[in-house]
Amino acid sequence: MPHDEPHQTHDEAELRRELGELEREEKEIKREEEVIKRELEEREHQDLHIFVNRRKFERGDGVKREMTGREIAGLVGVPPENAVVRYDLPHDKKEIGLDEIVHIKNGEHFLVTRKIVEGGFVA
Amino acid sequence: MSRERILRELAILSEGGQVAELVNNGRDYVIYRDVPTDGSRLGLPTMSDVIVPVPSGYPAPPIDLAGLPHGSALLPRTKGGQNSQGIVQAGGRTWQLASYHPHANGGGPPWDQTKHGFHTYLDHIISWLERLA
Repeated sequence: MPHDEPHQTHDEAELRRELGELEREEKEIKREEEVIKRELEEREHQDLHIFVNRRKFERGDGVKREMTGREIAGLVGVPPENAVVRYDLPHDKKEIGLDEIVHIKNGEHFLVTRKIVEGGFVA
Repeated sequence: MSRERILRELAILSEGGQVAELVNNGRDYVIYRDVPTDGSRLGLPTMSDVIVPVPSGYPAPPIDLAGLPHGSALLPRTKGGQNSQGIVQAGGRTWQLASYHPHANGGGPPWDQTKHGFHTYLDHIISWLERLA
């Protein structure tokens, strides 16, 4: 029906305008997401810490994004040849090899124990 | 003041989720709550409270000994656990002290009062409860 054509043109123009607005909004949201993501990464980088034997260690103590079991043992001063390093989670006490690389999660807990433990004996 | 120092040391552990308290029954003791053990391997408790006496004149002399609740099935399995260093009452419980001397040939470093304290002594307690016989 010919008399509908102006309506169609108008509707199409309106839809194009709305689509353009939505695309601009989407771009703005993506940009804001990137900014937030960068801020979070920066904050996490600065706040990076772990707990070893329930004590907190930070970047200044030698905590890094990636650490070996040897380096984690070093935080509590246990010589590597005498150290056993484990995750300290209720469901995970898996041992970490001295040269195994751990991708540190912020706030992660570890246990470091000595292989040699001596008790006193009755004289 | 040693009491303030001890409370500062225990606050360090609190940040990492370790509950530990200073108690007195005429003598000061530190009680560490729910310390992990290697008990699951032997069908024994996987956590235990541990008591440690505060040495007279602390921090000059080293922290020494460790004790478990009297009758704990873990005690005979710990190093020095069969060599009782006495029974104490503290924090509403009875405890038995074991012959464990981490800073005196027990496997730990020599005592250094500028570095060590009740926060680092937890390292030795965890090792003690991890090496059950």
